Amino acid sequence: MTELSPQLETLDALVRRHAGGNDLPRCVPKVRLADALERGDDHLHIVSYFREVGVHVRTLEDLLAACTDPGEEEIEAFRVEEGVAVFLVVDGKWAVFTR
Amino acid sequence: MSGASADAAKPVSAAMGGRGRDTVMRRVIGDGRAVTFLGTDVIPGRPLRMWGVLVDTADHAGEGGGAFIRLGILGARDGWSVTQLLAVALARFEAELARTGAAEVAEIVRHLELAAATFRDAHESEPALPISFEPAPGAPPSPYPWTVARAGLFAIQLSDDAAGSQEGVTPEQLLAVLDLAMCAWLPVTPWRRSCWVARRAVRAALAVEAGRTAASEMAATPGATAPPPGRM
Repeated sequence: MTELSPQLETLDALVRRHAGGNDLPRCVPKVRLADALERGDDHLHIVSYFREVGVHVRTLEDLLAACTDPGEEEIEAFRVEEGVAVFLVVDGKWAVFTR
Repeated sequence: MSGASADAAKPVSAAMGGRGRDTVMRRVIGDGRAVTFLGTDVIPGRPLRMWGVLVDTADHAGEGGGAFIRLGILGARDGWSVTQLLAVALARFEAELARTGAAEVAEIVRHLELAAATFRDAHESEPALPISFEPAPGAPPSPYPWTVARAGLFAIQLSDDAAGSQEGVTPEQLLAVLDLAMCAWLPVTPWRRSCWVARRAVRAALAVEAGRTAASEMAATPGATAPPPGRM
C-alpha cells in the first residue's frame, strides 16, 4: 500500500508516478508539521485524526510510521525530499508535511 | 426500568450498582439523562463487545423510563447497525427540516448526509434489513409523519419533542448513541479514517442539536439564563 523509496523522490515526481498517467492534483499544500501540531489540526485533519485515535505524532518519522501502519488502510505516506507526502485514498487529496 | 428517576440520580447506573462491568460507556446529555452502553468482557485490540444501549426516556406521565437499542455488533441481523441508525437519524432530521425549515436543522442534515456517505459498517457485506417508519400505535397526533423506526424485530420510538418530555428517544440521544457506537470500531478497523470522519460529522450534528435543544428549553422556561457552553 505504502512505498518507501530508498532514494528520495521529489514531491512532483512522486505525484506524477502515483497518478500513473491520470489527472494530477491541482495543488499539494505544504504544511509545517510543527505548525499543524501547534494548531492541533491541518486542512486534511491528519493531525487531529491521529490524536483522537490515540496515535502520538510528534515528528515526521512518527507521521510516516502512523500512516504506513498495516492497519491504516485509507492513508498512504511517502518520504520525499520535501518531507512526508500524505495521500488520502478515500478523498484523493494530497498534502506534504515538512520540517 | 420504567419508573426510574430521570434526574441527575443516574437511575441506570444505580440500577446496575454504579459503573459496573456491564457499563462500557456512558454519556449524559443536556437534560441530565444518560445514554449507557452495555457490554461484557472488553478485550484490548478488539471492538467493544457492546450489545446494546440503554437510553433514559420519559414515559406517558412524563416520569423517567428507559428504552433499549440493541446493536448489531456480531451481524447485520443481530440488532441495529450504525448505518441503519444513521438512516433513522437522517430521516428524523429531514422530517424536522420539512416541519420547521430551520437553518440549524439543515446543517444537521448536511452533517448526517456526510456521515452516511462516509461510514463503512463492519458487516456491510451482509444485507441489512430494510427500515420502516410508522406512527406510534395509539399515540396522540404527532407533528412528525412517523415516530417509530422498525427493522425486523427491532424498533426505536422517537420522542415527539426535542426536550424529551414525551415518550421515546430524543434526536439528541440518538446522535449520542451514534457517536458512542462509532467508538467501537475506531481502534480496530483498517478503514478507521472513514469511521472517524463519519463520527466527526455526527459530533458536529450533535453539537448543533444540543445547542438547539438548549435554546428551545430556555425559550420555554421564563426567566431562564443561557446554559454554560460545552454542557455535554
